[in-house]
This record gives sequence, C-alpha cells and structure tokens, in this order.
Amino acid sequence: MKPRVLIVDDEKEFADSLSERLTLRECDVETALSGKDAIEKLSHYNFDVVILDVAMPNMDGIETLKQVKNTKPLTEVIMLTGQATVETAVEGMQLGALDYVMKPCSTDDLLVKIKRGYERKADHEERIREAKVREFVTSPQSALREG
Amino acid sequence: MGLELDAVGETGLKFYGKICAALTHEMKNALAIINENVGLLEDYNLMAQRGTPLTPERFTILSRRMVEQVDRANTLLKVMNQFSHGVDTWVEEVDLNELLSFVSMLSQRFAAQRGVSVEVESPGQKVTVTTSPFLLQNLIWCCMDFAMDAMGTGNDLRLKAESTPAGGQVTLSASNDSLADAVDRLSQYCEGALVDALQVKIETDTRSGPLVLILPKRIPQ
Repeated sequence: MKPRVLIVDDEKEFADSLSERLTLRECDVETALSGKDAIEKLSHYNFDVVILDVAMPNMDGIETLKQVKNTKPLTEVIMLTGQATVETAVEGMQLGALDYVMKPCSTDDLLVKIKRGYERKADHEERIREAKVREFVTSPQSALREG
Repeated sequence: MGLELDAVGETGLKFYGKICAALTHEMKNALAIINENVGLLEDYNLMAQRGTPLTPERFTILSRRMVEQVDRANTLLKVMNQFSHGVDTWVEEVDLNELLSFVSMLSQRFAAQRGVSVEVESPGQKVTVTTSPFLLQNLIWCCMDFAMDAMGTGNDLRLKAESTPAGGQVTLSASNDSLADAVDRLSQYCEGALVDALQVKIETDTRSGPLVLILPKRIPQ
C-alpha cells in the first residue's frame, strides 16, 4: 500500500512541485495551503504522514501540529523548516512530531523519513488491533463497549 | 572589558537582524521551489530515457515556475541591498512616501504572518524632511509592528505621509478601532531614545484611532 501523505505549506508552488515528486515515487499525496485547510482534510481522510511547514500565516506549524495530534493522534508529522526555525521544529518534536527536514530538502532524505513514519504508524495501529483482540479474548463483553 | 550598546544602537541592530532574517527566509523559500523544480526536471529526464512520453507543456510549467522564483529572489536581494545601504549616509533628505513604500516592502512577511494587509496611500505630492533614514525606518517599523499586533487578522493597515508647516507627518490607521484601544502598549514597541534621536512627537487620536508621527523639517547632522 502507498503511504498517504499530506503536504501543508502556504507556498503553493512548493507544495505542488513536492507533491508531484512524491507522487512519482509511489506516494498518495494531497496538499493543503493552510493549517485550517489541513485539519479539514485530516478530518475526512486518514493520512499516514503530514509534512508540515513550520512558518505559516495565521495558524502556524506548532498550532497545526497540536491540532493534527488532537484530531489523528497516530498520524506522523514531519516538520519542514528554514534554518531560522529549527528551534520551532525541535519544539514540534517535543510535541510529538516524528522528525524535521530543512528547506530546500533532499527528496531521498524526505522519502526515508516518510517511510519511517508510515511504518511506525502501521506498527502502532497493528499493536492497537492486537490489544483489542486480546481484550476481546479475555473479556468478550468488551466488544459491547466499542462505540 | 564589557560591551556597551546605547539604546538606539541596540534597537537598530535588532531591527536590522529581524529584517535580514525575514528577507533571507523568503529567499530560502524561493530557492526551495527552484530546488523542487530542478528535481522534477531530473525526474522527467529519467522518465524520458525510460521511454515515457512527456508533453512539452510539462517542461513549460517547470521553466515558468523557476523564472518566477528567480525574479522573486532577485527582488528580495535588491530590497536587502537597498536596506543595507540605508546606513551609508546617516542624515540626509528623505522622501517620506518613498520611505513608507520601502518599509511596507520590508514588513511584507511580518504582515502576511499576521494576516494583515498593508497599504501606502498614493502620494499627492513629494514630502521631504532631513533625517536619519535608517532610524526613521526603524521607528516606523516599530509602530507598524505595534499596529499589526493590535489589529489582528483580516484587517488593513494604511500608511500616509503629509507635509506640515513644521516638516512632515506619517499617519498609521487601522481598518478597526484597535490602535486607540491598544495605545498604552505602544511604549513596549518604540524605544524612547529612538523617538528622541529623531525628534519625533507621537500623537494618538483616541476617538478614531490613528497613530501620527510628527517629524521636524530637519534634525541636526
């Protein structure tokens, strides 16, 4: 299965070009031009990895990261940063982002991080599934508690 | 041996650093777009070598994007160069309309980050005073920084220069009443020593909100 990637950057030309490059490398990619747009898309679609620009107008990268983690806790986030905003990217990692890349970024490095994020999310989901199965086996009534 | 900086020097250095950081950040964004498009060009080249048919339109889009970003980076470099040369002559005759347009250009990134749009009212006539262009840019930027923080997202900040019998004045007005409401916080943004060095008087109209900087015709060399 292809990694489902959401690129969030207010620079449309950047988001479009990176999207095309990742699509050519077997990723299923969508773009969002603001934090608000990203949260809207996340609420309708289950992305594996979000590539998030740190410096955006209105809702900045950190605020968007908090909302991404609040909306879809398992979705992995890679922060995209200029040199001056590395501290913010580090703050983002303390808030649950997987990693960060510097602009201009190497597509190969980014792909390695996307793959790591995709595998980590899949692994996390698998462990949740296994835990639910164990719970069901030991207490069949637990299935009734599910939404 | 201790390092001594006076208040004007310190605020000036902070202003210079902040503007240079913003301009270079924008340049990096332009370079990042060029980098992605060069990468795409390499991808297309590989695809063509493997026999994938590619329309000329795809190459046209890439070259247009790259030309646009080279223009953008070039404009940013020119602005940065002009800004750096602003300290060449410490006191000189300044056209306030030109200075407002320039400071507005310098503050584009800060305005975009806050969702504020900055507009310089078109000049009716040339408004000149003899002052320190760098320090005046610094003071106007501090006032804009205060105004943009006070206004909030989705509002317009208008700048206007006018001649007065004693020199000139610069008016900053917001599309809402926020400046009058926040005026108590202005001193946190504007260094008093900078206001004194430029011999500027700052007035606020608490009813309608504009912030007015009253400048003398000439400050001492």
